[in-house]
Amino acid sequence: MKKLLSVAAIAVVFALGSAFTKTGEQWWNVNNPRVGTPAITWLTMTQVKLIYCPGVDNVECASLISNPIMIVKKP
Amino acid sequence: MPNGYWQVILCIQLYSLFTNMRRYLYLLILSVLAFITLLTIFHFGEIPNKHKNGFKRNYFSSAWLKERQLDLQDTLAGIIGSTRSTIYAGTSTRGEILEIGKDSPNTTKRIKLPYFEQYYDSLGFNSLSVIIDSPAIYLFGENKPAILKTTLDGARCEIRILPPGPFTREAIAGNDCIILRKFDLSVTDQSFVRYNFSTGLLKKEENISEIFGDGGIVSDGQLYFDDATKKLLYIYFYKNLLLSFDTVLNTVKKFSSIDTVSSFKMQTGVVKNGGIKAYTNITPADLVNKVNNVHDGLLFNMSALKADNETDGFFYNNSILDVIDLKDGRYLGSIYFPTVNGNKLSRFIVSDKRLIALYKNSIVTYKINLNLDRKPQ
Repeated sequence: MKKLLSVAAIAVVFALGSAFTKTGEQWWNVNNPRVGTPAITWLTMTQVKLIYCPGVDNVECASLISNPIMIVKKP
Repeated sequence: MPNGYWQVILCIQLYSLFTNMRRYLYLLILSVLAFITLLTIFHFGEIPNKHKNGFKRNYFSSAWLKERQLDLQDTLAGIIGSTRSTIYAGTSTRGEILEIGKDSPNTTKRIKLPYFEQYYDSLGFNSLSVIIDSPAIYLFGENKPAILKTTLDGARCEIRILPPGPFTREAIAGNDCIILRKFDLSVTDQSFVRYNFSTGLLKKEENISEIFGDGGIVSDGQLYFDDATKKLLYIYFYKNLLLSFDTVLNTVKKFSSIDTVSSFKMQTGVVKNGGIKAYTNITPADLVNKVNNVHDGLLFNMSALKADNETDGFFYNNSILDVIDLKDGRYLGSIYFPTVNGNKLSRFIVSDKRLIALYKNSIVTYKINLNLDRKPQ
Protein backbone atom coordinates (compact mmCIF):
# COMPACT_ATOMS: atom_id res chain seq x y z
CA MET A 1 0.00 0.00 0.00
CA LYS A 2 2.80 2.39 0.99
CA LYS A 3 4.75 1.47 -2.12
CA LEU A 4 1.69 2.13 -4.22
CA LEU A 5 1.23 5.54 -2.58
CA SER A 6 4.87 6.41 -3.17
CA VAL A 7 4.65 5.42 -6.83
CA ALA A 8 1.40 7.38 -7.21
CA ALA A 9 2.96 10.47 -5.62
CA ILE A 10 5.98 10.26 -7.94
CA ALA A 11 3.66 9.81 -10.94
CA VAL A 12 1.64 12.90 -9.92
CA VAL A 13 4.79 15.01 -9.62
CA PHE A 14 6.09 13.89 -13.01
CA ALA A 15 2.70 14.21 -14.73
CA LEU A 16 2.23 17.74 -13.44
CA GLY A 17 5.74 18.66 -14.40
CA SER A 18 5.38 17.38 -17.96
CA ALA A 19 1.86 18.76 -18.43
CA PHE A 20 2.91 22.31 -17.68
CA THR A 21 6.29 22.28 -19.36
CA LYS A 22 6.36 24.79 -22.21
CA THR A 23 6.51 23.05 -25.58
CA GLY A 24 7.33 26.19 -27.57
CA GLU A 25 10.75 24.90 -28.61
CA GLN A 26 9.22 21.97 -30.48
CA TRP A 27 6.99 24.11 -32.64
CA TRP A 28 7.33 26.44 -35.51
CA ASN A 29 6.22 29.67 -33.97
CA VAL A 30 4.53 31.61 -36.73
CA ASN A 31 4.43 34.90 -34.82
CA ASN A 32 8.05 34.78 -33.84
CA PRO A 33 9.96 32.13 -35.82
CA ARG A 34 13.27 31.10 -34.32
CA VAL A 35 16.17 30.00 -36.45
CA GLY A 36 17.08 26.36 -35.93
CA THR A 37 13.79 25.18 -34.51
CA PRO A 38 12.12 22.38 -36.44
CA ALA A 39 9.55 23.65 -38.89
CA ILE A 40 6.95 20.99 -38.30
CA THR A 41 6.33 18.63 -35.41
CA TRP A 42 4.45 15.42 -35.82
CA LEU A 43 1.57 16.04 -33.49
CA THR A 44 -1.81 14.84 -34.64
CA MET A 45 -4.78 17.14 -35.20
CA THR A 46 -6.66 15.13 -32.58
CA GLN A 47 -4.03 15.95 -29.97
CA VAL A 48 -4.18 19.62 -30.85
CA LYS A 49 -8.00 19.72 -30.89
CA LEU A 50 -8.15 17.99 -27.53
CA ILE A 51 -5.75 20.46 -25.97
CA TYR A 52 -6.65 23.74 -27.63
CA CYS A 53 -10.10 23.44 -29.25
CA PRO A 54 -12.53 22.72 -26.41
CA GLY A 55 -15.33 25.17 -25.70
CA VAL A 56 -18.07 26.88 -27.61
CA ASP A 57 -16.66 30.31 -28.35
CA ASN A 58 -17.20 30.33 -32.12
CA VAL A 59 -13.51 31.05 -32.65
CA GLU A 60 -11.43 29.68 -35.48
CA CYS A 61 -9.25 26.94 -34.01
CA ALA A 62 -7.56 25.33 -37.03
CA SER A 63 -6.86 26.23 -40.62
CA LEU A 64 -6.14 23.21 -42.83
CA ILE A 65 -3.96 24.37 -45.67
CA SER A 66 -3.88 21.10 -47.54
CA ASN A 67 -6.15 20.71 -50.55
CA PRO A 68 -8.96 21.71 -50.13
CA ILE A 69 -8.26 24.57 -47.73
CA MET A 70 -10.65 24.27 -44.84
CA ILE A 71 -11.22 26.23 -41.66
CA VAL A 72 -12.39 24.62 -38.43
CA LYS A 73 -14.47 26.78 -36.11
CA LYS A 74 -15.77 25.89 -32.69
CA PRO A 75 -19.54 25.54 -32.54
CA MET B 1 18.22 -16.41 27.36
CA PRO B 2 21.79 -15.40 26.38
CA ASN B 3 22.66 -11.69 26.23
CA GLY B 4 23.65 -11.86 22.56
CA TYR B 5 20.16 -12.98 21.58
CA TRP B 6 18.55 -9.84 23.11
CA GLN B 7 21.05 -7.69 21.28
CA VAL B 8 20.15 -9.33 17.96
CA ILE B 9 16.41 -8.83 18.62
CA LEU B 10 17.03 -5.17 19.55
CA CYS B 11 19.05 -4.60 16.37
CA ILE B 12 16.31 -6.15 14.21
CA GLN B 13 13.63 -4.03 15.92
CA LEU B 14 15.69 -0.83 15.48
CA TYR B 15 16.41 -1.63 11.83
CA SER B 16 12.71 -2.33 11.19
CA LEU B 17 11.70 0.94 12.85
CA PHE B 18 14.32 2.88 10.90
CA THR B 19 13.24 1.27 7.60
CA ASN B 20 9.58 2.09 8.23
CA MET B 21 10.44 5.65 9.24
CA ARG B 22 12.50 6.04 6.08
CA ARG B 23 9.47 4.96 4.01
CA TYR B 24 7.28 7.48 5.80
CA LEU B 25 9.96 10.10 5.31
CA TYR B 26 10.11 9.44 1.55
CA LEU B 27 6.34 9.69 1.37
CA LEU B 28 6.38 12.95 3.31
CA ILE B 29 9.11 14.44 1.09
CA LEU B 30 7.22 13.43 -2.06
CA SER B 31 3.97 14.94 -0.77
CA VAL B 32 5.73 18.19 0.14
CA LEU B 33 7.39 18.27 -3.31
CA ALA B 34 4.02 17.71 -5.03
CA PHE B 35 2.48 20.50 -2.96
CA ILE B 36 5.35 22.88 -3.77
CA THR B 37 5.01 22.01 -7.49
CA LEU B 38 1.29 22.85 -7.39
CA LEU B 39 1.96 26.13 -5.59
CA THR B 40 4.66 27.06 -8.12
CA ILE B 41 2.35 26.31 -11.05
CA PHE B 42 -0.42 28.37 -9.49
CA HIS B 43 1.92 31.27 -8.75
CA PHE B 44 3.81 31.44 -12.04
CA GLY B 45 1.18 29.95 -14.39
CA GLU B 46 -0.69 32.25 -16.74
CA ILE B 47 -4.12 31.83 -15.19
CA PRO B 48 -6.56 34.43 -16.58
CA ASN B 49 -7.51 37.20 -14.15
CA LYS B 50 -5.20 35.94 -11.39
CA HIS B 51 -3.09 39.09 -11.58
CA LYS B 52 -4.21 42.68 -12.05
CA ASN B 53 -5.03 43.57 -15.66
CA GLY B 54 -4.10 47.25 -15.44
CA PHE B 55 -7.42 48.97 -16.10
CA LYS B 56 -10.52 50.10 -14.22
CA ARG B 57 -14.19 50.34 -15.16
CA ASN B 58 -16.79 53.02 -14.46
CA TYR B 59 -20.41 51.94 -14.39
CA PHE B 60 -23.52 53.65 -15.71
CA SER B 61 -26.04 54.07 -12.93
CA SER B 62 -29.57 52.68 -13.44
CA ALA B 63 -28.57 51.72 -16.94
CA TRP B 64 -31.15 49.02 -17.54
CA LEU B 65 -34.56 47.73 -16.67
CA LYS B 66 -35.44 44.07 -17.17
CA GLU B 67 -38.51 43.83 -19.40
CA ARG B 68 -39.03 40.10 -19.82
CA GLN B 69 -37.39 36.72 -19.63
CA LEU B 70 -38.26 33.78 -21.81
CA ASP B 71 -37.04 30.36 -20.67
CA LEU B 72 -36.83 27.65 -23.33
CA GLN B 73 -36.08 23.95 -23.55
CA ASP B 74 -33.76 24.54 -26.52
CA THR B 75 -30.06 25.23 -26.22
CA LEU B 76 -29.68 28.60 -27.92
CA ALA B 77 -26.71 28.97 -30.23
CA GLY B 78 -26.89 32.60 -31.29
CA ILE B 79 -28.97 35.54 -32.43
CA ILE B 80 -28.98 35.47 -36.22
CA GLY B 81 -31.22 38.43 -36.96
CA SER B 82 -33.82 40.83 -35.71
CA THR B 83 -36.48 43.20 -36.98
CA ARG B 84 -38.47 45.86 -35.12
CA SER B 85 -40.83 43.17 -33.85
CA THR B 86 -39.01 39.86 -34.11
CA ILE B 87 -35.84 38.14 -32.95
CA TYR B 88 -34.43 35.12 -34.79
CA ALA B 89 -32.32 32.74 -32.70
CA GLY B 90 -30.37 29.70 -33.82
CA THR B 91 -30.70 26.49 -31.83
CA SER B 92 -28.47 23.46 -31.51
CA THR B 93 -30.81 21.60 -33.90
CA ARG B 94 -29.24 21.87 -37.33
CA GLY B 95 -31.33 23.82 -39.84
CA GLU B 96 -33.85 25.08 -37.28
CA ILE B 97 -34.40 28.61 -35.98
CA LEU B 98 -36.75 30.21 -33.47
CA GLU B 99 -38.83 33.25 -34.35
CA ILE B 100 -39.60 35.16 -31.16
CA GLY B 101 -41.87 38.21 -30.86
CA LYS B 102 -40.09 41.09 -29.11
CA ASP B 103 -43.23 42.39 -27.44
CA SER B 104 -45.02 39.08 -27.09
CA PRO B 105 -42.37 36.47 -26.34
CA ASN B 106 -45.00 33.77 -25.96
CA THR B 107 -45.47 33.79 -29.73
CA THR B 108 -42.42 31.62 -30.36
CA LYS B 109 -42.41 29.88 -33.70
CA ARG B 110 -40.10 27.09 -34.83
CA ILE B 111 -38.95 27.51 -38.44
CA LYS B 112 -37.08 25.10 -40.69
CA LEU B 113 -34.57 26.98 -42.82
CA PRO B 114 -35.71 26.82 -46.44
CA TYR B 115 -33.43 24.84 -48.78
CA PHE B 116 -31.27 23.78 -45.85
CA GLU B 117 -31.78 20.02 -46.27
CA GLN B 118 -31.43 20.24 -50.03
CA TYR B 119 -28.18 22.21 -50.13
CA TYR B 120 -26.50 21.25 -46.89
CA ASP B 121 -25.56 17.82 -48.22
CA SER B 122 -25.23 18.48 -51.91
CA LEU B 123 -22.91 21.47 -51.44
CA GLY B 124 -21.12 20.07 -48.43
CA PHE B 125 -21.84 23.04 -46.15
CA ASN B 126 -19.67 21.69 -43.34
CA SER B 127 -19.40 25.11 -41.78
CA LEU B 128 -22.60 27.07 -42.14
CA SER B 129 -23.41 30.51 -40.82
CA VAL B 130 -26.88 32.05 -41.07
CA ILE B 131 -27.85 35.73 -41.12
CA ILE B 132 -31.44 36.94 -41.40
CA ASP B 133 -31.70 40.38 -42.95
CA SER B 134 -35.47 40.32 -43.19
CA PRO B 135 -37.03 39.40 -45.54
CA ALA B 136 -33.84 37.78 -46.87
CA ILE B 137 -32.03 34.84 -45.31
CA TYR B 138 -28.38 34.30 -46.15
CA LEU B 139 -26.83 30.87 -45.71
CA PHE B 140 -23.05 31.15 -45.80
CA GLY B 141 -21.27 27.96 -46.73
CA GLU B 142 -17.96 29.12 -45.33
CA ASN B 143 -15.77 26.28 -46.52
CA LYS B 144 -17.46 25.68 -49.87
CA PRO B 145 -17.28 28.76 -50.30
CA ALA B 146 -20.81 29.71 -51.32
CA ILE B 147 -23.65 32.05 -50.39
CA LEU B 148 -27.31 31.09 -50.68
CA LYS B 149 -29.92 33.83 -50.51
CA THR B 150 -33.52 32.91 -49.88
CA THR B 151 -36.62 34.12 -48.05
CA LEU B 152 -38.40 32.79 -44.98
CA ASP B 153 -41.19 31.32 -47.12
CA GLY B 154 -38.62 29.86 -49.53
CA ALA B 155 -40.30 31.53 -52.51
CA ARG B 156 -36.97 32.72 -53.93
CA CYS B 157 -33.59 31.09 -53.93
CA GLU B 158 -30.30 32.22 -55.45
CA ILE B 159 -26.92 30.64 -54.96
CA ARG B 160 -23.43 31.96 -55.66
CA ILE B 161 -20.22 29.97 -55.63
CA LEU B 162 -17.28 32.18 -54.68
CA PRO B 163 -13.65 31.93 -55.81
CA PRO B 164 -11.60 29.30 -53.87
CA GLY B 165 -10.63 30.02 -50.28
CA PRO B 166 -12.96 29.73 -47.29
CA PHE B 167 -14.27 32.66 -45.30
CA THR B 168 -14.98 32.88 -41.58
CA ARG B 169 -16.79 36.17 -40.85
CA GLU B 170 -19.66 37.84 -42.68
CA ALA B 171 -21.56 41.14 -42.47
CA ILE B 172 -24.41 42.47 -44.61
CA ALA B 173 -23.49 46.08 -45.43
CA GLY B 174 -26.39 47.17 -47.60
CA ASN B 175 -28.39 45.91 -50.51
CA ASP B 176 -26.50 42.96 -52.04
CA CYS B 177 -23.26 44.21 -50.43
CA ILE B 178 -21.60 41.56 -48.29
CA ILE B 179 -18.28 41.99 -46.49
CA LEU B 180 -16.38 38.78 -45.82
CA ARG B 181 -13.15 37.88 -44.03
CA LYS B 182 -11.80 35.48 -46.60
CA PHE B 183 -8.73 33.27 -46.96
CA ASP B 184 -6.09 34.67 -49.31
CA LEU B 185 -3.77 31.92 -50.55
CA SER B 186 -1.05 34.38 -51.60
CA VAL B 187 -0.42 35.40 -47.98
CA THR B 188 -1.81 32.28 -46.20
CA ASP B 189 -3.98 34.57 -44.13
CA GLN B 190 -7.42 36.14 -44.21
CA SER B 191 -8.33 39.60 -45.37
CA PHE B 192 -11.54 41.54 -45.97
CA VAL B 193 -13.34 41.42 -49.32
CA ARG B 194 -16.52 43.07 -50.57
CA TYR B 195 -18.83 40.79 -52.51
CA ASN B 196 -21.72 42.04 -54.58
CA PHE B 197 -24.40 39.37 -54.60
CA SER B 198 -26.06 40.70 -57.79
CA THR B 199 -23.00 41.17 -59.97
CA GLY B 200 -20.68 38.61 -58.36
CA LEU B 201 -17.88 41.20 -58.20
CA LEU B 202 -15.30 40.63 -55.50
CA LYS B 203 -13.04 43.44 -54.31
CA LYS B 204 -10.11 42.94 -51.95
CA GLU B 205 -9.20 45.30 -49.13
CA GLU B 206 -6.18 47.62 -49.26
CA ASN B 207 -3.91 47.55 -46.20
CA ILE B 208 -6.60 47.02 -43.59
CA SER B 209 -5.64 43.66 -42.07
CA GLU B 210 -2.39 42.80 -40.34
CA ILE B 211 -0.88 39.76 -42.06
CA PHE B 212 0.61 36.98 -39.94
CA GLY B 213 0.51 34.08 -42.42
CA ASP B 214 -1.16 31.66 -40.00
CA GLY B 215 -4.48 31.12 -41.78
CA GLY B 216 -6.09 33.97 -39.85
CA ILE B 217 -6.09 32.24 -36.45
CA VAL B 218 -4.31 34.78 -34.27
CA SER B 219 -6.15 37.71 -35.86
CA ASP B 220 -9.56 36.04 -35.57
CA GLY B 221 -12.40 38.27 -34.40
CA GLN B 222 -15.97 39.44 -34.95
CA LEU B 223 -17.20 41.54 -37.87
CA TYR B 224 -20.15 43.96 -37.70
CA PHE B 225 -21.79 46.58 -39.89
CA ASP B 226 -23.23 49.61 -38.11
CA ASP B 227 -26.15 50.98 -40.09
CA ALA B 228 -26.04 54.36 -38.30
CA THR B 229 -22.46 55.21 -39.26
CA LYS B 230 -22.25 52.94 -42.36
CA LYS B 231 -18.97 51.61 -41.00
CA LEU B 232 -17.70 48.11 -40.47
CA LEU B 233 -16.07 47.17 -37.21
CA TYR B 234 -13.74 44.22 -36.68
CA ILE B 235 -12.99 43.31 -33.08
CA TYR B 236 -9.99 41.09 -32.42
CA PHE B 237 -10.52 38.17 -30.05
CA TYR B 238 -6.97 37.98 -28.69
CA LYS B 239 -5.83 41.58 -28.25
CA ASN B 240 -7.46 44.95 -27.70
CA LEU B 241 -7.46 46.09 -31.34
CA LEU B 242 -10.61 47.35 -33.11
CA LEU B 243 -10.59 48.15 -36.84
CA SER B 244 -13.14 50.61 -38.20
CA PHE B 245 -13.46 50.91 -41.99
CA ASP B 246 -16.02 51.62 -44.68
CA THR B 247 -17.25 49.43 -47.52
CA VAL B 248 -14.69 50.89 -49.97
CA LEU B 249 -12.13 48.89 -47.96
CA ASN B 250 -9.18 51.23 -48.39
CA THR B 251 -8.86 53.23 -45.16
CA VAL B 252 -8.92 52.05 -41.60
CA LYS B 253 -9.16 53.70 -38.19
CA LYS B 254 -7.69 51.78 -35.27
CA PHE B 255 -9.12 51.91 -31.77
CA SER B 256 -8.65 49.77 -28.72
CA SER B 257 -10.87 48.14 -26.15
CA ILE B 258 -10.54 49.23 -22.51
CA ASP B 259 -7.98 46.61 -21.48
CA THR B 260 -4.20 46.83 -21.86
CA VAL B 261 -3.58 43.70 -23.97
CA SER B 262 -2.00 45.42 -26.97
CA SER B 263 -0.04 42.41 -28.25
CA PHE B 264 -0.98 38.78 -28.82
CA LYS B 265 -0.25 36.38 -25.97
CA MET B 266 -1.50 33.42 -27.99
CA GLN B 267 0.96 31.86 -30.42
CA THR B 268 0.11 29.94 -33.56
CA GLY B 269 2.01 27.21 -35.33
CA VAL B 270 1.87 24.41 -37.89
CA VAL B 271 0.93 20.82 -37.19
CA LYS B 272 1.09 17.97 -39.65
CA ASN B 273 -0.66 14.63 -39.64
CA GLY B 274 -0.01 12.45 -42.65
CA GLY B 275 -0.69 14.62 -45.66
CA ILE B 276 -2.70 17.19 -43.72
CA LYS B 277 -1.01 20.38 -42.64
CA ALA B 278 -2.80 22.87 -40.43
CA TYR B 279 -2.29 26.09 -38.57
CA THR B 280 -3.60 26.22 -35.04
CA ASN B 281 -2.85 27.84 -31.73
CA ILE B 282 0.03 26.25 -29.85
CA THR B 283 -0.51 28.06 -26.58
CA PRO B 284 -3.86 28.47 -24.80
CA ALA B 285 -6.33 30.76 -26.56
CA ASP B 286 -7.00 33.35 -23.89
CA LEU B 287 -9.80 35.53 -25.21
CA VAL B 288 -9.68 39.26 -24.58
CA ASN B 289 -12.84 40.44 -26.36
CA LYS B 290 -15.36 37.68 -25.93
CA VAL B 291 -18.84 38.73 -27.05
CA ASN B 292 -19.87 42.02 -28.62
CA ASN B 293 -22.35 43.95 -30.73
CA VAL B 294 -22.41 47.27 -32.54
CA HIS B 295 -25.35 49.69 -32.61
CA ASP B 296 -25.80 53.37 -33.38
CA GLY B 297 -22.09 54.19 -33.41
CA LEU B 298 -21.43 52.34 -30.16
CA LEU B 299 -19.55 49.15 -29.44
CA PHE B 300 -20.88 47.02 -26.60
CA ASN B 301 -18.08 44.66 -25.69
CA MET B 302 -17.98 41.89 -23.09
CA SER B 303 -14.33 41.49 -22.18
CA ALA B 304 -12.93 38.31 -20.68
CA LEU B 305 -10.75 40.41 -18.39
CA LYS B 306 -11.54 41.57 -14.88
CA ALA B 307 -10.89 45.23 -14.06
CA ASP B 308 -8.67 46.10 -11.11
CA ASN B 309 -11.59 47.72 -9.26
CA GLU B 310 -13.75 44.57 -9.47
CA THR B 311 -13.87 41.68 -7.04
CA ASP B 312 -13.78 38.08 -8.29
CA GLY B 313 -17.36 37.59 -7.09
CA PHE B 314 -18.65 40.65 -8.93
CA PHE B 315 -16.83 39.75 -12.17
CA TYR B 316 -17.94 36.11 -12.24
CA ASN B 317 -21.54 36.82 -11.21
CA ASN B 318 -22.18 39.54 -13.81
CA SER B 319 -21.92 39.99 -17.56
CA ILE B 320 -20.05 43.27 -17.91
CA LEU B 321 -20.30 45.23 -21.17
CA ASP B 322 -17.93 48.09 -21.94
CA VAL B 323 -19.42 50.84 -24.13
CA ILE B 324 -17.08 52.50 -26.63
CA ASP B 325 -17.87 55.44 -28.92
CA LEU B 326 -16.83 54.41 -32.43
CA LYS B 327 -16.33 57.98 -33.64
CA ASP B 328 -13.23 58.46 -31.53
CA GLY B 329 -12.71 55.16 -29.69
CA ARG B 330 -13.51 56.77 -26.32
CA TYR B 331 -14.56 54.51 -23.45
CA LEU B 332 -17.90 55.80 -22.16
CA GLY B 333 -18.60 53.42 -19.29
CA SER B 334 -19.77 49.90 -18.50
CA ILE B 335 -23.06 48.16 -17.81
CA TYR B 336 -23.38 45.00 -15.76
CA PHE B 337 -26.14 42.40 -15.93
CA PRO B 338 -26.43 39.66 -13.29
CA THR B 339 -26.07 36.04 -14.40
CA VAL B 340 -29.28 34.17 -15.30
CA ASN B 341 -29.57 30.66 -13.82
CA GLY B 342 -25.84 30.85 -13.13
CA ASN B 343 -24.93 31.67 -16.74
CA LYS B 344 -23.32 34.76 -18.20
CA LEU B 345 -24.82 35.96 -21.46
CA SER B 346 -23.51 34.09 -24.49
CA ARG B 347 -24.62 36.47 -27.28
CA PHE B 348 -26.58 39.70 -27.46
CA ILE B 349 -27.83 42.37 -29.80
CA VAL B 350 -28.75 45.99 -29.19
CA SER B 351 -31.62 47.54 -31.09
CA ASP B 352 -34.25 50.21 -30.42
CA LYS B 353 -32.83 51.07 -26.96
CA ARG B 354 -33.16 47.44 -25.95
CA LEU B 355 -30.51 44.87 -25.28
CA ILE B 356 -31.61 41.34 -26.09
CA ALA B 357 -29.38 38.90 -24.28
CA LEU B 358 -29.10 35.23 -25.04
CA TYR B 359 -28.29 32.81 -22.24
CA LYS B 360 -27.94 29.05 -22.49
CA ASN B 361 -31.69 28.37 -22.31
CA SER B 362 -33.16 31.87 -21.93
CA ILE B 363 -33.66 35.12 -23.76
CA VAL B 364 -33.84 38.25 -21.63
CA THR B 365 -34.84 41.69 -22.88
CA TYR B 366 -33.49 44.76 -21.08
CA LYS B 367 -34.52 48.33 -21.75
CA ILE B 368 -31.31 50.35 -21.63
CA ASN B 369 -30.82 54.00 -20.74
CA LEU B 370 -27.21 55.10 -20.82
CA ASN B 371 -27.43 58.95 -20.59
CA LEU B 372 -24.43 59.12 -22.84
CA ASP B 373 -22.14 62.08 -22.99
CA ARG B 374 -21.24 61.76 -26.66
CA LYS B 375 -19.37 64.21 -28.83
CA PRO B 376 -21.52 65.70 -31.63
CA GLN B 377 -21.22 64.23 -35.12
